[in-house]
Amino acid sequence: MKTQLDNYLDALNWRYSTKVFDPAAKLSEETFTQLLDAARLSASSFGLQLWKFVVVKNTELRQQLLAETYGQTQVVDASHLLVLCRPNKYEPQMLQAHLEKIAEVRKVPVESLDGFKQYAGGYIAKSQTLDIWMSSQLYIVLGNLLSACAIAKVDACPMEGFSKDGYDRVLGLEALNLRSGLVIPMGYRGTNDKYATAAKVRYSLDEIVITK
Amino acid sequence: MYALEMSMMLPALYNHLDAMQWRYATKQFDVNQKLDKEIMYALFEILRLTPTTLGLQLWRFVVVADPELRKKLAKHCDHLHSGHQEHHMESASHVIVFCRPSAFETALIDKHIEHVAYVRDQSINELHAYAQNLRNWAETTADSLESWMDQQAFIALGSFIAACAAARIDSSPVENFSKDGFDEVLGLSEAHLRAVVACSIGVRSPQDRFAKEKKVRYPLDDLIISK
Repeated sequence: MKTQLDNYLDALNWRYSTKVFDPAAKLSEETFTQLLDAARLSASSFGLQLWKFVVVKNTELRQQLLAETYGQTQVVDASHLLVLCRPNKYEPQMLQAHLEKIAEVRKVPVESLDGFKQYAGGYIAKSQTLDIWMSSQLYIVLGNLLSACAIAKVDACPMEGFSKDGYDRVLGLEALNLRSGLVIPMGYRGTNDKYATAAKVRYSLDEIVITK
Repeated sequence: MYALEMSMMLPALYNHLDAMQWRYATKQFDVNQKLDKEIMYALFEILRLTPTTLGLQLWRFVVVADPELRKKLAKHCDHLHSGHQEHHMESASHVIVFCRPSAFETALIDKHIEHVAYVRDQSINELHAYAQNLRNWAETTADSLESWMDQQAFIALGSFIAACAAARIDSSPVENFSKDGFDEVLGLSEAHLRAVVACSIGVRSPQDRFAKEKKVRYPLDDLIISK
């Protein structure tokens, strides 16, 4: 147990938000796919997985996104550009589709999931902040994905500072009922990134852990 | 060079994937199995190193070992009746409550700047532009700062669950609880904190039938949109 946690800690200590990517250093498709697979397996409220992974390969589109990211060059320099998205609008059929998926995978009648349907549906019905709730799910993916990247020694730069409307427009997301949530350029750090060697700034455990 | 480096890192990534396949939201823990101090310390360290927007780290992790308190917390959870006698918060070894400041204050930025200056041996003056960026950002996003602080806690949760899985520690995240109820049980308001999400951890009970359920995940083809 301890060894795995120590390895995980080493990975977290190694990572940092990469400001300068080496444009020539490409991530293999195999690695990138495995990282997306890690993201796919993230924990999700009620197991709903209300997320999509938009992978932007087209260099012209990435150039357009640069302006919507206030000129942060990671979006064009990094090997891969991932945009985590959530449904723009929650629709009740999403829960129904998921129940059918569970029934199919677990080979049970969909009616046997009625209790779960009431439970999850009840929470969703009374929530007044479904958009925020769906966005929060993307942050669970982010936490898991950034760790997976660090474990694989892949650099990443999670970004919240971008125009969501701009991204939605450039990527045509509205037509897909999607809303951009987080932008994650992934690749390898450039040798000239001064932030790579800056000391990590984290509060001590005394300041952040309260034991009851 | 990169191809070689990557082929060396792939086994580590495959271990991570195995761990993620192994995990499930545990409904019943083995009450006799407690995580020891050394493990808990390593888990705290992992929480401490969670990536955080702008480096701000606006979170507190309240760790509840006391069985009486965990029982009280369980009463404030709205849960699906899983057929198990106790809520997983009761049978777990520990419950971690992920909290954030109850209100955002610019003093939190000042504190962070002082900390950066201390750790990186810089003067506050050198950090002036960075500090100003943070203040501007807080001003322009004032309306959504509370939900933004909540979301930071979800980054910690996502990384924490994966770390637990890597060490084959079982976990069960909980979102559906009364925040006021948790405040009351843990005295969070007095500490200017608000609960966001919680997670029970421990070792699964052999009786937990959910351990054997097939994981339901959409294939990557359903999730990826290439542009």
